[in-house]
Amino acid sequence: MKIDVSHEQRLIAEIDSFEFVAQDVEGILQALNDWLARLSADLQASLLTCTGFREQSALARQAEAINAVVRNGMHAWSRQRTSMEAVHALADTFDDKVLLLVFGKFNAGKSSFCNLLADRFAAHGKTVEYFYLEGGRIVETPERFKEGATETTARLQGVRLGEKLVLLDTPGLHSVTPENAALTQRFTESADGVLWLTSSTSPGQVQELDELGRELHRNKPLLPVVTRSDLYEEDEVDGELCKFLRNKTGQNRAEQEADIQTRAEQKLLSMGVDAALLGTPVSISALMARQQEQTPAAMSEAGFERLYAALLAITEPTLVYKRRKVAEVVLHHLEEQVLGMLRREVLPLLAELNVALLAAMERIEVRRDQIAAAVWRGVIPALPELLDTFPATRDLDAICHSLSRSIFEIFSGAANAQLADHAVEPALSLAQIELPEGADFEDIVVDSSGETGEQRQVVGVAYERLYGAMEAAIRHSLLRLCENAAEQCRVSTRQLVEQTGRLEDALVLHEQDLFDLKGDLRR
Amino acid sequence: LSQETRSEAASEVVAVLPDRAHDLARLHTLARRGEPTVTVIGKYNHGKSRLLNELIGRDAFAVADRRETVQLADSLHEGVRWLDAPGLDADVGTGDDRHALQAAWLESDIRLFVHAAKEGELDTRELSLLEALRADGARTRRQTLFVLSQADQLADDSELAKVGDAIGAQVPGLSLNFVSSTRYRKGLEGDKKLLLQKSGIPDLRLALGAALAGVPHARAHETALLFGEIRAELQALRAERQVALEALHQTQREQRQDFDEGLEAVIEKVGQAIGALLDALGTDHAIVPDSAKDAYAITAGKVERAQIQIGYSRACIEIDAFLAGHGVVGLPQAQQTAARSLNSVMVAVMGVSVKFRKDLRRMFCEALGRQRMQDEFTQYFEISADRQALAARISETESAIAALDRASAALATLESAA
Repeated sequence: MKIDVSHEQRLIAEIDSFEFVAQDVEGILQALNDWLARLSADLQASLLTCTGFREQSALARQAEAINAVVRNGMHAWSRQRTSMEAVHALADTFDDKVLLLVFGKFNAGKSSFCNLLADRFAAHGKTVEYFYLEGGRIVETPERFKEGATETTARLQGVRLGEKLVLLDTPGLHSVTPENAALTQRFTESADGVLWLTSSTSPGQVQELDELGRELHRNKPLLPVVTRSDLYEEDEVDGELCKFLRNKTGQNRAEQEADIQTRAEQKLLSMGVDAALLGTPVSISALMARQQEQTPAAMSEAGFERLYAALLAITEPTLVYKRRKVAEVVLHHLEEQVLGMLRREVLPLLAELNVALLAAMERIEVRRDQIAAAVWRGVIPALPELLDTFPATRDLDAICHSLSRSIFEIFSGAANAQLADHAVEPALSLAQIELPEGADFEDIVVDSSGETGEQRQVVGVAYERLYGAMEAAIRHSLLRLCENAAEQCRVSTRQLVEQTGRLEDALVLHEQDLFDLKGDLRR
Repeated sequence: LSQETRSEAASEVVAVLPDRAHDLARLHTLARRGEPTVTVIGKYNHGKSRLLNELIGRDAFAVADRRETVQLADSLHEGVRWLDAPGLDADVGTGDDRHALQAAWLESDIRLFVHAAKEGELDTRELSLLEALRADGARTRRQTLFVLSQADQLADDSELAKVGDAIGAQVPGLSLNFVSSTRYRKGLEGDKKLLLQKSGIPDLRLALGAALAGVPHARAHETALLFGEIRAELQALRAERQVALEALHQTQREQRQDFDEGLEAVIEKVGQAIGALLDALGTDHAIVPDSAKDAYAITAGKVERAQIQIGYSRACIEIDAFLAGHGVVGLPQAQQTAARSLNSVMVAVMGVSVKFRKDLRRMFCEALGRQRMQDEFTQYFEISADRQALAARISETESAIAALDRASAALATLESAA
């Protein structure tokens, strides 16, 4: 530590000398805007129509729910576009700064960590400004972050270190109070990298990373920091308990770091995040550094030299990222608010609707046959009485008319019940009973011609064949009616299946387009 | 009870109460009457294995300052089985949680819930597990002792007390055991009384001893509780199924009665019509051969035959229409010609031969003949699709009840051996 410039000095010096030269991203911004315009036009044209379904049917409601999500989404995007101007403004104020999220659970030692770094910058003559979020505003404060073993940090707080570095201490990425939600969102949006603080007592609980999913998908580097890497040693001397604090051993630290490295990599992989974002974990003890008066040797032993080196290593990619940040912010908006919303909310609904439509399609045949059986059971028992009452007049037309009406009524009732989701229009003309030529009441005539001359005697009226012809005609009529209704259902169901397919295809296509644009931007 | 009988009995119960699989597994553990089991539960690296080693007095469990225990490990010592579970949250989605679950719920009589003092308050996951364990304790009388471990890793006693207070506020009524395995080991090695006393291990041993003394009683209570709950659930389910079965039988009876009465009325109606027709005819001309008759007789014979044919045909149509209304003859599958009006059921019961007066009288006007029609049509009614479907539902419900009865018997077998 004599002649060598420490990593601490290098870090502070390098951060001060950051020069931010924005990359020219006008072309890509235009392409992103065009992408959104094309997507919106396609979605507008692909909204689902539910012809042939009753408005209150489950299927129509499902389809309408999808339309509503898409419409609300398109509405929200345009509003978000406007509010993104504000994000831009905020991002601008950080454009010449590196913004790091200090993420971790309440007992990860975030406050001590930030306070110590603040002390170091102050020791090098840099200004240190603390602030916190309240009521949706940034409030400046002279007070350091509160530390304590049972602390539950319930607010988002930050500290500006010198001109160019900001640490944001966050209790979680979900805002604690609704009025701070927008500002929290803007801060995390603006963050350039994440320091994941995890206590050495129970290090590397990788499920915590789930909450970081969005930031990591935004390609922000992640540095695991094992905090509180220290322990008390105790002894009893002359009946008195004496204890002293020491750093955990190098081997102990190496084991914990290796374990975290392995599992964090697996975790990132399972989250679909590029494992290259993961920095090599470092162990530190803020308490040891402080107890030992922050001497260079103490800082180094407490792990801070390694931390500074790691911070230097992530500033390079951070700089590269910052140069194209304007376009990244727009891209994030499109990926998360636009495409992400469609993927999260619309795709599952479409899949559900598809399953429901397939099931509905399969039900149609069964329902058709059930309706036919019901009409048959309803109509036939009345037939003998009908035939009994008409022989006097032999008004076949009247019988057929009466039958048609009864078929149509029973059919309509059964179709309503069995095909409740569909707006079936029963075809009255198909209920028409048509008897074949010659089907009629038959006079049974006995021929008694003999010596007394020709004699024919009408013995009675038979309608056995007429009954048979009527059964056949009824069957024919109701099968046509049922098949007609089934076909109406099939047509409308197929139409909706095709529409959902088109909507899905459109989403896949635009997703690929955006993926290509992202590749262009990050190349 | 043999292992085989026991697991067969358990699967009879699980077959009808799948949600009770865990309870049956627990009952299985209880029935083994093994040594009382003490399980340590908590996040990894909070000093669970180290604590067990100190309680037992030898290094039975592996210790390291990182994720270590990933398998269930156990050790017998002085009539107590000590079980080291993998840390909570160690690796989400792997076998660790399953092992932890097994240790915490299936195997343990007493749980030591371990939380490192340096970590401050309990986090959400610890809190909900601790609450679940305490709720289980109230139910099964299995005790959970809370251990605030690594008490030496805070700056001083007041810091430690602060953490204790914070946890006390999170879980009101929780009694805390402040423990430091390191102090204990060091105190033993150097024969240092203050370290031993401040290690909290002697006090924890006392608390554990008291809890262990209560294990036989707790086990008896838990055994009775689980059997009682399962028995009651089986009974409730059986009662529910029985009601459903009775409703189905009721429907079956009502449909049948409706059919029987309707058919009887139809047969009565057509029988009367045919009876009246036959009575009006007087002398039977049809049985005298035409060759032996005069012209009048020939004609009269023809007229009679025609009238009989008409009457019979109407009777058939009445019956056929009635059967259609009760689903005995369904919608004809293939297109039928107008000529073939009678379906197979009618043909089977009525026959195809020409009917003479004596045939008709026997069929329609005599009790025996009417009964035959009634019986045969009823048979066809019973094999119609709807009736068969109803019968199938009845038989399913009966099977379900039989399965519940088997489960109850199996449970009784298990209980008598417990």
